[in-house]
Amino acid sequence: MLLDTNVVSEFLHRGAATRFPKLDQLVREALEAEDLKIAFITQFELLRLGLKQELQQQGRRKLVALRKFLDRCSALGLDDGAGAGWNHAAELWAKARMHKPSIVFSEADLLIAATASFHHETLLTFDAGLAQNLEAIGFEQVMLVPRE
Amino acid sequence: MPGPPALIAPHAILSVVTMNLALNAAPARAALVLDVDALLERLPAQVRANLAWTKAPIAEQLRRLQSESVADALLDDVARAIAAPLQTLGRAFLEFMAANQDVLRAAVMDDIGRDQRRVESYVDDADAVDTAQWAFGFLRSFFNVTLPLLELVVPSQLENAIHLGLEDSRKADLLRGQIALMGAIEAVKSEAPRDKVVELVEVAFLRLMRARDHFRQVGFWVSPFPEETTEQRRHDTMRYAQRLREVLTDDDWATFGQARFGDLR
Repeated sequence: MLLDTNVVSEFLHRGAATRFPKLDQLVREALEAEDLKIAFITQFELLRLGLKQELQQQGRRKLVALRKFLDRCSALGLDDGAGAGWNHAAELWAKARMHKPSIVFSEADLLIAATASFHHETLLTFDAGLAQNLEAIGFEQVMLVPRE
Repeated sequence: MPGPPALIAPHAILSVVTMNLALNAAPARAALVLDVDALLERLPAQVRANLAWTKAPIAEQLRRLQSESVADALLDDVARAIAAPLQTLGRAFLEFMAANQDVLRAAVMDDIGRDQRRVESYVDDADAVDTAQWAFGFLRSFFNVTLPLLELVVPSQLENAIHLGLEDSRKADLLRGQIALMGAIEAVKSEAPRDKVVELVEVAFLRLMRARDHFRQVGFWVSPFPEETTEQRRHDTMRYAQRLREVLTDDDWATFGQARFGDLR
């Protein structure tokens, strides 16, 4: 199972267990079964914020905490097989554009979904629209986390 | 009659790899020292007396890390300023220990372990202790792998190892991390404020983690916790998630939300 950025960020939110108990439970269950898997895009999105804060000299401790957490996650990318994952992402993009009506993913959503699919992982997301659009183009490995 | 085309024997490939590793480790050899006093204690009295002059300039430079903001530029500056005495000490230590690699390795591991315990007991903060464990653990693993390869480093490469290392970002971060840890040990000795020691440990962690990223790029994996089990790893993942829940504020997440990766169009 690969966690979408929105799942990771909500899971890391203070009070996540009470705000979104189902999400908290799902991620904990995933962690009992295997390392938490995230896309390099998610790592990039999280880390760049911490690095910016460190450069502003206001977030060294936060960056340390972020680095430790990310270090224990298993980050997956699209570069395997001489970039075969990128080709897979391009196919997803084209399929979405050719759908009637046309589907436009944000680049981050597209690349994270492609990463999950490329590694044969189920994408766990909090974004109902994304899940719906992915299903519309025949992307079956997606699981929507209920907002409860 | 020409023979068959030459094949690269496995040992030849290995020697290329190990040489590359050793070159990467050359600046580390020069900065093998974390604690000058401890290193001097291991040397014979005569050698120790001859090298006593190295203590003051190194300590003086490391104390700058207590009074100034610890940025890369300062770490580089301190590294350059202590390069000569550090290389002199490192060389003497290695020459004295050269006869027995096992003794050398054991001495380095002893020193790292003692320094780690000293720093950990001083900071007295679970999160900072955890950070120190990572930083010292990384160095322990790094030296464990590279110490036997240091024989491959030719002396001329050592002379300017620190200066040249700082010009190569892959090696510079390793040196910066070590200098920050040396600063933390010096800060403990001089009973500097705990926050300063924690800052130096955290800076060391961040630079060493960057060094680890550089190593991974060339296929050299150094684990700070080589004996970690899957269960421990997953337990720590949850522990670090809890830590992030404590330190990240709503403002941080709002900024994160605004900075999401959008469209490349």
